[in-house]
Amino acid sequence: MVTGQGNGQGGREHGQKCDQLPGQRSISDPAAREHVAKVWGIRPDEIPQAGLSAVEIMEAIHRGEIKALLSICFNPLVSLPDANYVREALSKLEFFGVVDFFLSETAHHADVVLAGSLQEEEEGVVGSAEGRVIHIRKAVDPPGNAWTDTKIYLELARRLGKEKYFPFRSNREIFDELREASRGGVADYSGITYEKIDRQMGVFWPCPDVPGGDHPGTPRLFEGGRFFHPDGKARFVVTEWRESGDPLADDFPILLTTGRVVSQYLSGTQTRRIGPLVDQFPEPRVEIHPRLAEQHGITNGDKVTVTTRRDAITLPALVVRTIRPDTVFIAYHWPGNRSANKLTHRTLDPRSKIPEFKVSACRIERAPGLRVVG
Amino acid sequence: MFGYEFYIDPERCIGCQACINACAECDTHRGVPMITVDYLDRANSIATVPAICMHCDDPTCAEVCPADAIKKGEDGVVQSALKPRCVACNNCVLACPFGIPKMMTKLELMMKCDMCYDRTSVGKRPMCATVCPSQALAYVPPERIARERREKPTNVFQFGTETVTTKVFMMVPPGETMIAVDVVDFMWEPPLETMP
Repeated sequence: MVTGQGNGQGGREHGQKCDQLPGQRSISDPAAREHVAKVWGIRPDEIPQAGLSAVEIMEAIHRGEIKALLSICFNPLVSLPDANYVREALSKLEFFGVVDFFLSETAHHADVVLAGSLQEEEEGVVGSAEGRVIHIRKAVDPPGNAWTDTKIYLELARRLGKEKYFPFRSNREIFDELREASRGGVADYSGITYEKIDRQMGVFWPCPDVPGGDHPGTPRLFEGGRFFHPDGKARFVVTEWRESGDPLADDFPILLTTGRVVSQYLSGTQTRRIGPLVDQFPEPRVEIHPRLAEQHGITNGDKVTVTTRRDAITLPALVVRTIRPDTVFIAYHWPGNRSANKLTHRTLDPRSKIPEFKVSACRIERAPGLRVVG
Repeated sequence: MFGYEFYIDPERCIGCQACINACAECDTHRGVPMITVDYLDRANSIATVPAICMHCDDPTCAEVCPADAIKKGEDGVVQSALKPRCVACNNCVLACPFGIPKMMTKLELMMKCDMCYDRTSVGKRPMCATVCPSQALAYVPPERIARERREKPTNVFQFGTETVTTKVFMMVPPGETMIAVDVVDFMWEPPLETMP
């Protein structure tokens, strides 16, 4: 799987996804639990079992199973499907804490917001999409009363009485613990040091800690022709087709797919605040093929209402031949009445738990209002 | 300069406009980018193309300037118009085969890309090339382009019967040696169905 986010890969290797442990280990693997518990100085049974994915968390809040949530640099009100359902979940919480660098739409629902830091404001390492560990240097201090994220979590641990497990004096010490925790795993970081990262312009995992410490990392996996399966072979995985959780019907005959535009990043918490990026793409447009547009009497710039089984939003049309005639596209970076995720649905891929952002059923109609020029 | 050449490969451009923002941060023309990025034909394609000054060997802009305001140095860089000389006549704007010079009406001054002269003259890379994530704008040694790219660089442009050679290179498919543009190919004509 190729990931799109900064450190999306690095986080995935070390337990940001809560069915994992560091080193790309499974949280349900007894040997992995024992190894990581030893590094962390706890008993294996103190490590929880697999948690819930993001959409499942919202569903558990609705069921009353989750009453308090601490959200870190996460804007589910924009980035998760079925935004109205997410909003209801956030307002059901008895306590909602948010750590973020700007006040996101989600943070508006919080009881407590802790001002965190941007990547430019804190030193550390990230893992890129190509499996390369990169050193990010701090360029500026967090402004005002904002703290680095590390400082926030160390202080949180102290107030919860767990400071003996978090004795770190620097981010490098945290990375050194991560190296130990990943030792022997698929994503083995144990041989990666700050010095090696700087010297080699990044280090690709696995990079085991061999005697002499001179393992250069692994720029390309499987070069020896041996794969991770026990027999050493690679396998094609046959995926069985199944109907979307939001199937086409007479009253919803058109496919809606969502995605990104080049000038906006993720839920836009950063990029919707940067003037030139907003100028480049001020608002989402509904991309429609001329053939579909003609059927509905829509011309470029007309306001179009897109309706799904969840909700309806109205946006200007972008009539282009770069989209299929049976499909419309809306970028998802915006909140409120411009939010594409008001329209999407919560059906998850059973294995990866990724929502069906790319397939919803909708209908379109020309809406009254002035045409957008340009 | 310093063993580096400028290469443009529009096929690599993803339209992110990082080059525009980086250019506009320059202290010599803060807030005013000297590079453009345009959709060629958004109704039919997502293709975008960046345009910088090509720094012609025999610059038409300088040839047509009545005030001798546009200078080309020994290093091949064609400078932006000199403020004390420019009379804002627009000759260069109209004459440039690549459509690069822009008239800043309020300043009564033509301004254009000077390949970040403050940077490239001391061995640094132009702002746009330093930020281009796909290296559609690349300022690198020729050996590196030869090693890393399938496409080949050309700096020969044929406009009708006129041949223009430039300091900046454009990447073309292997086998091509020049870029030929016949203006007739780009003249507007009514769609076929509306013709009598």
